[in-house]
Amino acid sequence: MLNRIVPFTALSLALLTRGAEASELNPDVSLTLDGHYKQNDTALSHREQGFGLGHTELSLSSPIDDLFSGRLTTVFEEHDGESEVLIEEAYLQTNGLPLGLNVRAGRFLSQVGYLNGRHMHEDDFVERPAAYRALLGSHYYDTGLRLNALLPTPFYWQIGAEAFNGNQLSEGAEDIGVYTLNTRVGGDFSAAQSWQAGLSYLHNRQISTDEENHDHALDHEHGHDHSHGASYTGKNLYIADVVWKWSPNGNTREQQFTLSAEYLYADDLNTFATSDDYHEGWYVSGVHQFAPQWSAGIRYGEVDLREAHGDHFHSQRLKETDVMLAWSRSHFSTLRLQYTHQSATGFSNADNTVALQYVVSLGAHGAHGY
Amino acid sequence: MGTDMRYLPLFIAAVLTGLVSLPARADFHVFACEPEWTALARTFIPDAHFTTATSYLQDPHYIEARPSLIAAMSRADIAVCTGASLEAGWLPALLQRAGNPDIQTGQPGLFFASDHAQLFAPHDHVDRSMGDAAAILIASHQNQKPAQWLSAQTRKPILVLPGTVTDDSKTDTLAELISEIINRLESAMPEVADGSL
Repeated sequence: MLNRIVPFTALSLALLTRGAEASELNPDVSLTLDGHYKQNDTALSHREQGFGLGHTELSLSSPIDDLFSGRLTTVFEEHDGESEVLIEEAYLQTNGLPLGLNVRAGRFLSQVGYLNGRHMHEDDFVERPAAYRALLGSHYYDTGLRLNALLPTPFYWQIGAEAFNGNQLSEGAEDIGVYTLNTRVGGDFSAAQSWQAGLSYLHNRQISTDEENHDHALDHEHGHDHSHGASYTGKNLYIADVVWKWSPNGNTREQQFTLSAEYLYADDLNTFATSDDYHEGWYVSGVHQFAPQWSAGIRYGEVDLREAHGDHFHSQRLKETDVMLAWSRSHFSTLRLQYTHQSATGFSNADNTVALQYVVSLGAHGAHGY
Repeated sequence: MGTDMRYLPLFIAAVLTGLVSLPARADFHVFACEPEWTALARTFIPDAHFTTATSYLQDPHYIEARPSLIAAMSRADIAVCTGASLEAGWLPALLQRAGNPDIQTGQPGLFFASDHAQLFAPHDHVDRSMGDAAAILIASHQNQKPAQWLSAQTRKPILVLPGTVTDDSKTDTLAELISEIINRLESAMPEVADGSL
């Protein structure tokens, strides 16, 4: 009997049932630690050269009652020796409204694009694609309201709208500075293959005046890229995204291949912009988890930007290739080695670099998002 | 007789935008987290529409809350799952994104077998240093055929559902289905508890 039980005993998380019952009264707590060593400084980067800390996140989440649940995510960051505590998420969310409706209020990550709604520590590469770093400040979160509806179709089809304060993207005086619209469809091709495609639109009503834009540019040259706010903005931002995933028999534990691509386009940059002045960027990423604990990936992306200088613009262009190898001992720990190659026009700090990163989480089990 | 033509453009527009819900093929939708629960529920309501989130070839702890599952969960009348953290990585995300008012924590539409059966060999202490694993066994004192398997590592059935049902066990309501499943769980508890499996 002992022989039969011991292997399962060692594996069993049966205790967690008891734990789960208890934790219904208490919030789920999770802490994410993220650190890196980066050989060289790179263009549009949010990670410092040398040893550095990325997103150190402390997150609390819990059902509030049968209708609402809530979540708080605070991020600890350091910039030029100064510590900052940022509130990345502080929202309440409805659980199961009629008609497939879903409401979220407070501060949260905007659902535009594929990557933006995800937490950065779920990413497969050390940094987000250059287009995200330039146009969304890597990840755009803000204070506002979201309304989503899941349509009663046989496949997955969600439509959603968000209204935000807007000051996390660019400073301004509007009460509602940013609107977004988003639609997403998805399904399975077979047991082994699944897909999702999305279209998003972000309307920024607080397009910075030229002077502010210039400040941003100066900030940029000083290498002080703030974690929030985008360096390059436009009144209209359009994003198209597709994701395709494959794993043999759908068993993602053994193997999984993820192909994702996004295209971002922003126009109406400021009052001096003509129809030729727009930001544009895209990336394609392929990541293969070829063994339960190992994954390798390659990503190529480009971004074409127009940097405002008073009444005219300077062209900037960045091409970036990333190659990475990651080892995940469990769901909860990842070590990653990445090589980044940049070639640029209009960026003085573009360089190639090797980066080593760890991401670990303590506490509650994170979600396996798509 | 015939369709009122005034509403035709409206109808076409509605079809084009996909807002018309399809005629129900079977009016009761069951979302099962593992194929064992599909098999069990199907013996009671063979005419229902079933979606099984995982197959026997998959590790049920590791799948993702992918779009097709969100759509299926939003249509479901009941979700039958194992519980005890087996689906902890994806089921909460699925419930939240599907937003189905009938299938939420505390609602009768979300059925966890582990709430109704005694866990086999539960620990007083499990922590992360034991590795990333999820395996639970459902067991009870009764000396009947095994009812459910689960082992993330070996992926071998430890417990097997009994195969036959009597005709009078068919049901078509949620409450009856739940009570049938509970009865079956209780009466089909495994021999693993005494080591005879």
